[in-house]
Amino acid sequence: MPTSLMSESGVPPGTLVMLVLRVLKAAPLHGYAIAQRIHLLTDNVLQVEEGSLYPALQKILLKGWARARWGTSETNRRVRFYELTPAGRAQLASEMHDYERVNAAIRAVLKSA
Amino acid sequence: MGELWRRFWYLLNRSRFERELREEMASHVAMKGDAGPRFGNTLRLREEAADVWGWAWLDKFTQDLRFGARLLVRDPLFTLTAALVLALGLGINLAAFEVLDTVAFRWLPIPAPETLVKIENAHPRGRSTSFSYPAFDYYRANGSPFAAVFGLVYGEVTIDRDDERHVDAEFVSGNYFVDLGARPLAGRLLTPDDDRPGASPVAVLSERFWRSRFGGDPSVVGRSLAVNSRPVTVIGIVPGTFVGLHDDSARLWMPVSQHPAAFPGSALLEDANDKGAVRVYARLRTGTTIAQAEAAVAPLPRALHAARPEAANDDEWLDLLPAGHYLALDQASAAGVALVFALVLLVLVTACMNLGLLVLSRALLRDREFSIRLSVGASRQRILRQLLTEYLLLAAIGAAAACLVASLTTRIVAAVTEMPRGLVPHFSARSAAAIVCLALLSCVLFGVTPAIQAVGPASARRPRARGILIGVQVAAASVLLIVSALTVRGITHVVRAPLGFEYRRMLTVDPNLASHGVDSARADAYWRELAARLRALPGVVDTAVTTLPPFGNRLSINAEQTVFYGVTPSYFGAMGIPLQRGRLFAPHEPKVAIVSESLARRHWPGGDPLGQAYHDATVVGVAGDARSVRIGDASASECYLPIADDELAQSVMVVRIAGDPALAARAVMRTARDLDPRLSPAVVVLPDALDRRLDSARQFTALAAVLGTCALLLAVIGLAGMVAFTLSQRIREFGIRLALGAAPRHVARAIASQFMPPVVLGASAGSVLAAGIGAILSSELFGISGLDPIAHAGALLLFAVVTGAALIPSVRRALRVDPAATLRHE
Repeated sequence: MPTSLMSESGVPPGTLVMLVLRVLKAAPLHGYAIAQRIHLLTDNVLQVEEGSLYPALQKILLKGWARARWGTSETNRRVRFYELTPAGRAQLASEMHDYERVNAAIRAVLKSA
Repeated sequence: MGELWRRFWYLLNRSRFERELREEMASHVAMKGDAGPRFGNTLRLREEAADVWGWAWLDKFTQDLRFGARLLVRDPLFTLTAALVLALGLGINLAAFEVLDTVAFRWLPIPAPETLVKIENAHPRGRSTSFSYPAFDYYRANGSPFAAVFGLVYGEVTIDRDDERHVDAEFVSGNYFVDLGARPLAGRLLTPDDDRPGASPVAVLSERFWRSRFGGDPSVVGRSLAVNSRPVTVIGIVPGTFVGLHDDSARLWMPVSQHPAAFPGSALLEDANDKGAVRVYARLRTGTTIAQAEAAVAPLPRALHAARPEAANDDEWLDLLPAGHYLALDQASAAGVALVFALVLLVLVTACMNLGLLVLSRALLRDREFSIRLSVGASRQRILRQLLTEYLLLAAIGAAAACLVASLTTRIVAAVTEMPRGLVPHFSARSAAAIVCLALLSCVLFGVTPAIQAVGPASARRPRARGILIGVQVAAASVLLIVSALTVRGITHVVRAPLGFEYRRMLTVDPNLASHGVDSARADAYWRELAARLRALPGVVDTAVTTLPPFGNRLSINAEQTVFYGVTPSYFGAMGIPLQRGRLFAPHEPKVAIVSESLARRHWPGGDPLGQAYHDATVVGVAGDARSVRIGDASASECYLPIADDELAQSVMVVRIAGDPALAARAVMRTARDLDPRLSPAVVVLPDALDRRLDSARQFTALAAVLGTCALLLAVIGLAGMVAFTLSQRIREFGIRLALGAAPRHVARAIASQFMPPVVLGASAGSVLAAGIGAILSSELFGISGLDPIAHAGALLLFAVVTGAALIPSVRRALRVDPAATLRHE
């Protein structure tokens, strides 16, 4: 299932869901805003492809990590806002924890070598 | 809301969710404008996002299903034939399964069937299935592990002074109907109160008997009937749905304590030596297992022996057998069931082979379609999955049609075999599951396997697969046809071949002396007087007394399979059995015997039997062969001894009539009943008795014939279809051959050479198999050998003629083809 970031961005695959959950933690956002926010927060390093974003969002909805609600955007368009659920917060915490652990381990290997 | 539920919710509201995705993406595209890379193909993106919901397989499946359905509708001949083939093959199997399930595996429709047991009497020398009444009474009073014990005594009674026929009656303990949970159709049923000594004689009638004999007249309840010429009040009607215990075929039931009322002089209730009288069933107390109950009753026979030595031997024990099913499957009945199932399965085999042939020819036809699809990029797997879906659809249609066939067949079987109405087979989840499994299996095995071959590249193997399919199908069909031909031959043989005595001009009189407690001295006087009176009647030629009534169920036999008769000297004259050598014996002559011709030839080959000893008697005469008891036994080993005094009360009289015995029956009955008004003898017309005796054989013949016809039909459909198809494939070749000067018979030979080998091989294999089945069936074949050439040749000829007739149109088309037309057609 294409839920990973583009490999050209050099980002480990499988982290998109975590990133999306992370940017939703602060406030509910719509799809375009999510992509934009990730792009900005990573100093334009990471480009989120729509082809990956929407399947990831559907998976998040299906798993019950976020709720969707239709609303109006800043530019006055009808858009769908995604809002984190308690289950989503828990999932984010656990994914971040796992990620930190793996990251630390990788870094340890890189330093010693 | 869990994830599974949410997935399902997505499925239900798919169009709404897809619309939302579309809208969402549209605004995303609008907001993005021209910045960055272009938004991808929205349709593909939407599909990819929707794939997350997990329903993609369903889409593909419905797509395949729609395509499959379109194909089936477009080729209605194939679809109808395949559905018909499946319906016949599966339906008949399902019906057989249903019937077996109902009689052998499903509980009887009575309360707590699992606690019902049959009590049998075992001892080191063997076992007996019944008890004397005093023994039954003792076990009833002392059988602590039983919640209830009931006994059944079979008897034949007459219902009307003017009716010579016997009616099956059952004398049952008073708790019988109460315990089995029967409810009356009218009036009331027997209760323990009716079974007390001194109660007035009452009876209940079966619904079937009530309707056939009294036209369902409600005023019969409360009326008095002349049961064996005694007044007995009818108190109620037992509904036809009542199943009773597995061997209960009674038309009329009375309390067992009233046996003497129906049979004046009956000593049943006191006679401890009459050990074949009462069949005994019991209810285990809840929670008691059979092993526990057997342990608890183990000391009873010994205790009974101590109290009444003649009632039980001290080495007896009681065997408890589960009786909660209509048919208790023991080794003998299981073998019969297995044989019937083997024959029924052959129909399924024929059907499956047929389906295989159909699919194979269709797959060949679709070769073009498959290669086009493969070349434009479809995977083999995708095509196979599509084929699988197609045959799944076919299996569903076939299974549905099979259910129809099965319900019709079970209904017919239930009606023909007179199964109790309460037992009529009905669909269960089990049989539905069985049919679906069978349908899937046959479709996958015989539908998809040829399809794989067709899709695969090795087209060289196809002719062999076709040969196997044809051969096996012909073999299965010939087995069924030959077996049914054998059974038909057996029955006609019995009816046509001389049995060795004049049964067409005979009847028997059975006064049931032993049941009425008549001793041997009075029996002797009775027979003399009856003979004298009957001989005075016009039309009566001769009479004799015998222990074994012709076409009866009684049998006395030794290890050499010789049947022993006790007869009066006039027996040979009355039966029309010629005395070929020696002399007749005198009444009561000690230690002499007359043997049948076949026995003499077998026992003293080439020697003189006269004066020789046989079973501590001296042979004084040789009589012609007469198969009066074992009518199916061609060897006809008979040994006749002068009837002994103690056999007289258990014997019957045979009466030879000058004209039609049916016309004399009434006069004979009147004379016999006038002789002793306490007895009401039954008169049996022998041609009728033979008819009844052949009933089970006829049923088997009917079954075999139905199966044979189905197999023939299936095989003809398959073969004719296959040949027609192959010929249409080769029609151009034939046209060219004919144009180049080949004679039609050459072309015909080319056609035959393609199909004959598997057909001949199959027919030979079928012949061998059928001979084997014939050997197993020998007792139902009445002396016809399993190798009977007429049956084999007749069945195969029928097969050849029917198949040949079905082939004529397509072969003629092939031979008459206009070469120019076929060439132009390309």
